[in-house]
Amino acid sequence: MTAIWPFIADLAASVRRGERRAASTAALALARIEKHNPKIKAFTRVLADRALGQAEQIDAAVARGEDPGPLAGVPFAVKDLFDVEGIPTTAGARRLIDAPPADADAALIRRLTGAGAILVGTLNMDEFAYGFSTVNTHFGTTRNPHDEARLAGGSSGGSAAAVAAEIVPFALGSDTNGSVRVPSSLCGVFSVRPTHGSLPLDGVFPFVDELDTVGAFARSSADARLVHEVMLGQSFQMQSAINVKAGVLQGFFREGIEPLVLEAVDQVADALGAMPVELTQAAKARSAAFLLTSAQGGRRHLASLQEDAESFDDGTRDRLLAGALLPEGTETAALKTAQPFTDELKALFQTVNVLITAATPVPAPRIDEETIMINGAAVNARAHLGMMTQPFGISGVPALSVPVRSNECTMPIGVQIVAQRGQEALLFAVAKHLEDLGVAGVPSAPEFAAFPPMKETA
Amino acid sequence: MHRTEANKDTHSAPKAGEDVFVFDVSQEAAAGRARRLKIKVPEDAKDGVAFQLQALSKHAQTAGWTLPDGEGA
Repeated sequence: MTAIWPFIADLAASVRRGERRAASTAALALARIEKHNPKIKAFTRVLADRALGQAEQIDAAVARGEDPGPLAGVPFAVKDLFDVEGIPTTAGARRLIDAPPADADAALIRRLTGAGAILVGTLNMDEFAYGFSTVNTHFGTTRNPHDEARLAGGSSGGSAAAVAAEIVPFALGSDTNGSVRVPSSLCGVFSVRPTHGSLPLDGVFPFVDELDTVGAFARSSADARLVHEVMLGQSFQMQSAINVKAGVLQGFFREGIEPLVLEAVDQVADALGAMPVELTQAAKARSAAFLLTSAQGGRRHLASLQEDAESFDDGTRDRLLAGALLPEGTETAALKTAQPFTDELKALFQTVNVLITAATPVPAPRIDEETIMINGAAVNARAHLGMMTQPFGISGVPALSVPVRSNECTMPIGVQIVAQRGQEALLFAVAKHLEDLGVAGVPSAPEFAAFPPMKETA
Repeated sequence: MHRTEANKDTHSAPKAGEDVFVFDVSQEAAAGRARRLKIKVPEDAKDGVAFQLQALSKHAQTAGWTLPDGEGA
């Protein structure tokens, strides 16, 4: 598919057939981390020994005539909130760097490595996943591979940047309010926020129970789908998206959005023959998600705030302290407030199969840019990057962020495709359809596209 | 860290089923809660926390919640 990594299914197939060694794919990923990570700061830890050891086991299995699985020899990395056996789970926090090491891999890492994937490292994030920027005082600011002066987005910014820079073919992140979809939009890769509760979160550092999900970043819909299927433990039936009934969201979802982003949304809407539709409760749902997150975040970290508030990043500390000081009952009230939006969404899905809206209101802001313009007003850039993703999280529905090919916009931009709970197969079909039409696709980040091509074969 | 371990880091759960929920994040209310929860807000965090509480008040207004007079402006 690119000069660096083929499609994941093809890469794994060549390892399974013994045409390519897992040791060479792991070595390539490690070489690319060494070469490119100093510029973009996507990785927090490199697991070279573990990766090479696992690669050796996969090659030995192939040599014995065994099948290592559908992801044989495919390198990947995970946001630094997944438990990795033998090292502390930092969740991007300085205060957890010396925490006791995890005694086992997170459940989803076990599923992926059980299918032959090779874990090569952990990835940068906003502290405790509370942010949309991946500006981290201890681990540094993850840079956007398309312009290093710009944000990668967050909180799974390291995951998006590592895939956009072709360091690894896929990565995992977590999405509470948009932390997968936002960075994938800003970095120009595919990503999945699955149906809430559909994937196990064992061994994943929690943030907000009612909103937390984990999902994959990849460079094509086929790659994202394959990784998702392995994590889910089931393969989807192939389906066509040619006759899909799509709705393009109006009102809240278009107000104040940058014109270039709206053009990308309309490009997708035109390709799918979408009709205009509206969700009148969206602003309330977004505010409910904001309040629920703040209250539960503050409650979850209360003991640490009491013990040593100064051990947090300043921004996280202030947000969590404010959350801890909210009235009791805020979480219950927030969930109640979001219910009419969920009902409205359910009713709308009687008319359409998928909904289309921007994933972010703007392309990647500059790192030194404090504000962005929304509805003619200068607002905090980092707090508003998730305004398009937040309403859906609290309804538990799945969403894909799809990078749109735009001739007008120099930075990548993602469009969000949303479906009913459990309809991920349809979302992957729509994304594939958009790729086939030439509307969606991962833009190249030229600085990262050249070194070093994988030549070695078995 | 497993989810169950992280979940120990909590205080009392919110009360469910309250008929009237007043979202009061006035300085007095926040200070009272900070005392009850034994949270000492660091001096250099006071402005940031106040800013965050104001932002949350605006969201509460958007959510249509009952706010004490003057809050969230």
